[in-house]
Amino acid sequence: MNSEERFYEELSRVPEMPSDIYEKVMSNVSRRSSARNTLLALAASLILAVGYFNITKDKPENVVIQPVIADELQSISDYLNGDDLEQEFDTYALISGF
Amino acid sequence: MEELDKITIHKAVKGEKAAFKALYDFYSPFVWRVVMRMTGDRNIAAELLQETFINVHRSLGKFKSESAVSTWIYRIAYNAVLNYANKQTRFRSHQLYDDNKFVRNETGGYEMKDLVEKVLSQLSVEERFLLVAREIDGLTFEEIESVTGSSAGALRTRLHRLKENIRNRFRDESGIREAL
Repeated sequence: MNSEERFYEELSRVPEMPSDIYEKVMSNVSRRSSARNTLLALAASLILAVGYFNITKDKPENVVIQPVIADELQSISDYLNGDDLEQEFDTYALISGF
Repeated sequence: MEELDKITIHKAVKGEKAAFKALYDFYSPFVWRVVMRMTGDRNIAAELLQETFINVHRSLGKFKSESAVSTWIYRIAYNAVLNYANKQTRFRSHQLYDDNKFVRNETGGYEMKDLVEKVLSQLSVEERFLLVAREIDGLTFEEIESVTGSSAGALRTRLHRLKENIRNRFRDESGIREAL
């Protein structure tokens, strides 16, 4: 083997790689990801809090519901509560001739 | 250069821990060697190896399978060293390898280990990468081009000059020995 070949052989030799690098990489990765999760959770909480605040602040206390919509809502409410049944019995009775 | 099997790479891209460990085990020795030879300092090399694989982990999701993983990892490592070098001016002035520490032996020459470090001390960080990536790890000039951004032709010329300088160095060394 000549000097040049020995040079390249020596060039390929390096001190042993530290054995703890992988653990350091993974601990850094998990630290970063938990920091990111915390930040995301904080951001989500903030968005929810701001949203809730806006909803309660802009509560439509003074909003006037149009009569047509109010009637519809009342009909739905009556239907759901069964309050309209008596009226319907009367209607059916009229139709069937009782 | 050799590549890890595609299934493991795919699993690592998908975020499987065991696959990432396999990827680290496969590529870290190459990265270690090149980073160690580019910096010449075990502690700095360890720090940069760590940084390289943190970046690999972070960017794996963006990895495009049309390029080789090895080249992609080399690029991350190469950039990590260059970023470090840009912050440390001593890298640029080639003083990382301490030139005064090399002492000639009784035959007037240097021990091969010292000679390698002495030669590397006179090269730029980019040239050290070129030498190791091409002559030791066997990357093609096209692969080195995709890592460094220099054209394959320019790299070929540069390496030719580098090797010529190294050859001259040996001639000088043998001249010293004969003179003693």
